[in-house]
Amino acid sequence: MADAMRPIEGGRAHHDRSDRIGVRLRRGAMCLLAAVVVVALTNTVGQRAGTAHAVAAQAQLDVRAPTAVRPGLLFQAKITVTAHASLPKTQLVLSSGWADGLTLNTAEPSPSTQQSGPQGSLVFNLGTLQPGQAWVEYLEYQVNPTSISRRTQVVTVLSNAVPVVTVRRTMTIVP
Amino acid sequence: MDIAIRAIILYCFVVFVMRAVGRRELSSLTAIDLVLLIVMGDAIQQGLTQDDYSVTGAVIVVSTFAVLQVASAYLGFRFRRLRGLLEGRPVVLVDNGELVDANLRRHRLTPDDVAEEMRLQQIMSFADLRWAILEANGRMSFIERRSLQGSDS
Repeated sequence: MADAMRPIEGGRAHHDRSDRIGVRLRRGAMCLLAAVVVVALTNTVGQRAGTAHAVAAQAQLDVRAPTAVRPGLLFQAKITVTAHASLPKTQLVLSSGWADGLTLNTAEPSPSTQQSGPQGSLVFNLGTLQPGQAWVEYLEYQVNPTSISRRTQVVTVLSNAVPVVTVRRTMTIVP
Repeated sequence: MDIAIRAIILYCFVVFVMRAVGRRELSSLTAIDLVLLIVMGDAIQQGLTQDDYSVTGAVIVVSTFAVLQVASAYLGFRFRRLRGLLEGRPVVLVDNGELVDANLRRHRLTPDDVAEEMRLQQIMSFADLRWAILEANGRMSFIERRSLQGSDS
């Protein structure tokens, strides 16, 4: 019994000091964990949606989607094109950042035609938009688990192949 | 953000469920208790992480649970009433050799359950007991008359 207790009895001051250090380390670790929770609650790591928009003379473009997403999760991008003037042969062009490493489950309403554009972009043909008419496109995505990155996502509205309005945003896929 | 909120809600819900089912289930796992724990764990996982394969998601969930655990322990330490609510209070099952029926019923215990625990502690008879107490962690502790007499002398 005495032998087993000797290290404790003999080094009381040492143990008091190490206890204090241990308590501080533990409190520091708890602060770190609390910080993780705070960061999560402030939406830094996804995945509440934010809106980016741009206005031009002929049209307004609103893009609502999360700026940070996590692998495996579903999210929605809502793109609204509001015409201020007649927009013949309207096309919605999504840059490769909207397709690379993401699974596009569905796009509603389905555009009349869909084609590949320059540099891996997606082009949706919307037809002619009349002044005051709004086209709302819902894109339902799932994040591929291996595509961790930060990418630029560009949405451009074309009319007769001429750019009308553009929204540029970034989206981060956190590890 | 949503995952931290889900973790907070589910932590509170699980604490509520565990307090509601009673402390007897905490210390002894019957087949029915095992089913509850397995089903509960699986159901919670679906609601908590959903399809989230990220390291970030796992870190958030574990951190949230750790913070809530420490916070509830601290609140229980600072506020005695809250401790009773969160962790429960000890309950007397046998007082001076007499079974306290109301407390046994409240915790769905039979005299046989108490007798079983007594046998495990090598206690022969209720008459030998000064107190039998159901502790907050679900275990039973026994204080024998003999040991009290020993300490008095």
